[in-house]
Amino acid sequence: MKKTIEILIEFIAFFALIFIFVGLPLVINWYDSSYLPSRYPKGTKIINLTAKVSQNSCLWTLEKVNSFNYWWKKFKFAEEISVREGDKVVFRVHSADVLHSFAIPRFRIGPYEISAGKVKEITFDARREGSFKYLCWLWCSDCHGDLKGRVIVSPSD
Amino acid sequence: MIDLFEKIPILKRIVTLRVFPYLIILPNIFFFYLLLFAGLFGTPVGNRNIIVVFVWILWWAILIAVMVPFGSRIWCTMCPLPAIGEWLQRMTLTRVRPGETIRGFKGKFFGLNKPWPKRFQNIWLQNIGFLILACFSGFLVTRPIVSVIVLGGMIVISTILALIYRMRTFCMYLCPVSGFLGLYAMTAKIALRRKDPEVCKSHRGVECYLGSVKGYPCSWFQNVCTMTRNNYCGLCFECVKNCDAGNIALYWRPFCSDKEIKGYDETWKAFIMLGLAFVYSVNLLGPWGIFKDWVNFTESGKWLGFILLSLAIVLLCVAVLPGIYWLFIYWAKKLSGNKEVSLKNLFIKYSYCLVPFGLLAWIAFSVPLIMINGSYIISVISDPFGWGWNIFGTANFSWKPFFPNWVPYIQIPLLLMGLFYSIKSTYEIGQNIFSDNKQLVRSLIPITIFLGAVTLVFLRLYVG
Ligand code: SF4
Ligand code: SF4
Ligand SMILES: [Cu+2]
Repeated sequence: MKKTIEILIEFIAFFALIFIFVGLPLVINWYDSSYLPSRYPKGTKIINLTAKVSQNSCLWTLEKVNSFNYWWKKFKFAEEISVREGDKVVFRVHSADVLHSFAIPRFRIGPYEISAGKVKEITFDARREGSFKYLCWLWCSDCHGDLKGRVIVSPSD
Repeated sequence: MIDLFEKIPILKRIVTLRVFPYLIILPNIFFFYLLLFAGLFGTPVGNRNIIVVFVWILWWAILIAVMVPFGSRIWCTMCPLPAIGEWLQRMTLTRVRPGETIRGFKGKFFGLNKPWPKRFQNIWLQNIGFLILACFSGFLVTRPIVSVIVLGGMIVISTILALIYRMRTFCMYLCPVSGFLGLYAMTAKIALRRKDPEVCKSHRGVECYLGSVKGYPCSWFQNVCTMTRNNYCGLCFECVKNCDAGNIALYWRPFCSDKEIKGYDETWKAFIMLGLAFVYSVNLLGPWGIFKDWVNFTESGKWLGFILLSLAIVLLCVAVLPGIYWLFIYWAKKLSGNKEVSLKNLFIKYSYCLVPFGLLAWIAFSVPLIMINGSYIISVISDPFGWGWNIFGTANFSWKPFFPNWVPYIQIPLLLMGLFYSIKSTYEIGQNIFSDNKQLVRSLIPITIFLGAVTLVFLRLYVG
């Protein structure tokens, strides 16, 4: 009897470990990619944009920048960000290293400060079609001038 | 001295449960797993990533200011790093598997169970490891990935070693944290000891050390029947489970009750810790800008500066500080007028005078560390990965240090308390070295001057 209980406890202990190892990443992923987006109004387009400076090259990217890939990955420059006219857009602007800022001057958006390791959420109604410059608005590093791209608003069909 | 097991019987019931260490390791496994995840997939910005903020600010401060002075090596009871290796060795999480005997130790063990080479059965490797980590501390606190490499590396190495060498070889001889835990655990309020030596004598089995059907042998190679210091007892409580006579107590005792430093490795550990407490204080709080570059050197590209400064710091810890201390010991011996006491003996024994003060200098250092970085701790709880989460609504908490000009008034008493305990302990140590009270007092004069000078240096740093 005592032995059975011991073995039972051992089993529970083992599965608790497995549960943590498998469960934690799943919960984190669910919270980040299902729960949080579900709080925006239906149909909102969420755009994660990250500013990054390293080895004298600055870029905006739509790819995820994390503590691991920051050091080696060649990120794709987000020269064009496409949305459709009438879209409700939420820009979630990240900075992977230093203080940046974000602005879309022709929509009178920003400049908003984007501090390192923090995320700034900026809502944006794509009211007009066209091509609009977005950029970093404060001198963040020597290659600051490269930190610009375009938001392309294409006509809704 | 109070026996906590007697005072709080439930405590003994808990620690003798077979699931006990597992139960408190499990939450820490959860946390460290989360931290490692954050260190890989969270933001590259150190003070916005939970691994950096929790390990190098919060954990370090709690470890040094609470766990060690009050709980001895209680961290090692719950440490998740060597757990995987230990579970593999035992091939179970909670049970005992009796039956076999390996080199006198009872229990079935998986792995090669080799003894660690004699030459390395000391804490020199830990001293070296700690110094190396210290030189790279600038990276550790700014680059989450470096923390992943260090903590992950410790898990990997401890697991591999667990399969080759017996029991907690990693913890005893390699873990860089272990050396300082052991040294400062001597000051701790709690201590696990046998109660009655006669009971031990009449009991031949030495199950506390060799293991029994109720518990494993001491993974830390400590025989609690003869153990007189906290240094290398990892508080795993297996011996308590093994001892049928109930002859093991968990004492609550005055601070700084263990006073015996054995060997140069421990002496040098004391130098290194005090030296680094000084270096870090200058680095974070002091007025000198070059040290800031040391931490930020990759941004400023000053590799040569980094190497030179690291060398200077290593030299300070392993040569300059010991050299100055040696001069004072030499003077102490001369002044005492005692011919029998050897210089080496005095050098090692009196080096305990650096222990209480060193610990309190570290605590004094961590006060502003927490005060200044408090806002990071609070905001990172809500946004552990820097992904823009706000779980508890504190992600954008902005912090004005609470009464920042009060910090020195906390630090001054801490340093003075360190000075007091250092002088007091050295006096008590001296009583066992010098039989003549006059000689003893004379030998203490140089030590007191030395400690006073060190205290002034720290006061100057903190108070200005
Ligand atoms: S010695 Fe190091 S690895 Fe071992 S339990 Fe203590 S802190 Fe953890
Ligand atoms: S003496 Fe050994 S068995 Fe007993 S608590 Fe300390 S480390 Fe564990
Ligand atoms: Cu810029």
